[in-house]
Amino acid sequence: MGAKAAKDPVPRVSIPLNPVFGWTVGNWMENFFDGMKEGKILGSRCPDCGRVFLPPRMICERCFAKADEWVELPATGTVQACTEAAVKVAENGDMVDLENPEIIAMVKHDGADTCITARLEGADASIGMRVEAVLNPGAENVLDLLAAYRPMG
Amino acid sequence: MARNEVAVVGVGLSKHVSKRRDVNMAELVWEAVSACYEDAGLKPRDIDAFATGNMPAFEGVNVPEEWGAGHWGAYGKPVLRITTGGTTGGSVAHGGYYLVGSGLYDTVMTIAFEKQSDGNSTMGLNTVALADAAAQLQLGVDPAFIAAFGGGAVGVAVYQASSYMKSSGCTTHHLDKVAALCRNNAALNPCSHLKQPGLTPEEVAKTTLLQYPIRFGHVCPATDGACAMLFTTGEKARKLTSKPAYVLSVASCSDEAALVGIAGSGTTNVDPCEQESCKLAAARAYELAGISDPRGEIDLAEPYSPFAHQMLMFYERLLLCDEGEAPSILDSGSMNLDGELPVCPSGGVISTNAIGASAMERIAECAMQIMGKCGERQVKKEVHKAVAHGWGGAVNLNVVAVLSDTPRR
Ligand SMILES: [Zn+2]
Repeated sequence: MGAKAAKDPVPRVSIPLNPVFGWTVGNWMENFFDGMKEGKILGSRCPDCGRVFLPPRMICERCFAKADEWVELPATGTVQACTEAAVKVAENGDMVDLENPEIIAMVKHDGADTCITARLEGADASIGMRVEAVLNPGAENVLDLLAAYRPMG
Repeated sequence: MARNEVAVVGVGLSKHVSKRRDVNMAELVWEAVSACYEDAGLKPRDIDAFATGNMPAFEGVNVPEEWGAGHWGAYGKPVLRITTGGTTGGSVAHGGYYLVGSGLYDTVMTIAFEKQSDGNSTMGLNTVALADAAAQLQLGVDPAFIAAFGGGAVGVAVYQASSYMKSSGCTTHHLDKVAALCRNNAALNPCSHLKQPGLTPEEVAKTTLLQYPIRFGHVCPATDGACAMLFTTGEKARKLTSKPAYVLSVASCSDEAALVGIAGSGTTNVDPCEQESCKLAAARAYELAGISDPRGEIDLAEPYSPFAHQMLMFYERLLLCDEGEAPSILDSGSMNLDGELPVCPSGGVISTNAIGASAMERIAECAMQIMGKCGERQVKKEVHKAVAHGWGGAVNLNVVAVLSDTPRR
């Protein structure tokens, strides 16, 4: 074997592929974004079990019912779980180190039965912490309409 | 445990169009699923298991069933995913038949879908043909050329079409006639995509030539859509409806891989119009169904034909006539809605192609025609036995199902 085996006998080629995928959010999420543009937080309620989805979803999976009752929810909620991010995804898709780590929290708004996961301002967080949503109604990108959560008091 | 009688008791289709911006993928599929529950008069609690599938890689969303299943009434139920390329929907329906026929489950919903407008179908197809692409790159072929033709479906179809035309005597006028027949049928189908009432072969002949011998008018559109079907035992089916569509048999057959390549028909250079695996699958399906004379016993056919020549080619490969006879049978009017053996009454894949759903929609159409649920496009003759077909895999898998208004003896 020796030196001969060290050389890869199989020529390799790399195949350049540049796929572009999209994602249609649908009318329920569109309504959620439209609400935030007016400073409102809108959830959808299942008519059968009464669960309130935030972000809203069209179908209650447990009841197979159309969640078509809209409810305006307060900006306030409670942290259900949290973690710390050390990197972020840059515009070109690369991972870049954050100068200061950021807190990411799963927040259940008062009156909602599901959670939104978003950045939490500040350096400390704990489960059960009371927080409120910081909206940015003028944001160009709909994903920036909910800027972050902020600890209360 | 195995059961002899499996029947279709419900079919549901979503709206089929180019781009659905008002619904996400799970919500689009929900439309077909809801219509299917309504059609059968059943609720999610009545379903014992689900089988589902779509084209992998087309939308860039993998395992869509894991987050979509709840939207389809599958909360807390077994879900099985089956995906076999262009034949996916057919394989999923076959899965539904197997699940009930095995005796393990009584009532099974099958779901197939595609939301092409969110994805990148050419990219998806290229991942099917990566082996070819690698070989071409080594030969110094421009990557852009490979991206355009490496896995493009038209690239596969043109070799097949020209070879079929040479061997059968099918002319470009026959291709124009097939397109006109299908698009006129599609105009009578509320769930079809391309509706062109009154379209004539002469108008098809004036459309742009894409790649010899295929014109724009000979090719399917890219569709967002979904299909759902309900399979259950013969006993339960007779309680649910006075007219179930029994599945007499399913058969699928894989051939030598015939991926497209710059060398022509592909890696193994099989004549792409030969489709030996279709003939084998059809023969097996007829045998299992107890059909000794398909030409005399089959009343209706839904061959999988995203390209015009395939309606004629697969009509032959489904053993419904001798090879080379289909063009003259088309000329005779036998394939029309009021003909002796209507073909693609739904409008076919050439009019509506939500890839993953398409092969299931062939079976769904046969079931609906047997159940008499087709409204304006209901064929004139009474349909006792119908054959549904799907084509895909690495352009080498053929799936066949035979349905009937009476159970297998
Ligand atoms: Zn509910």
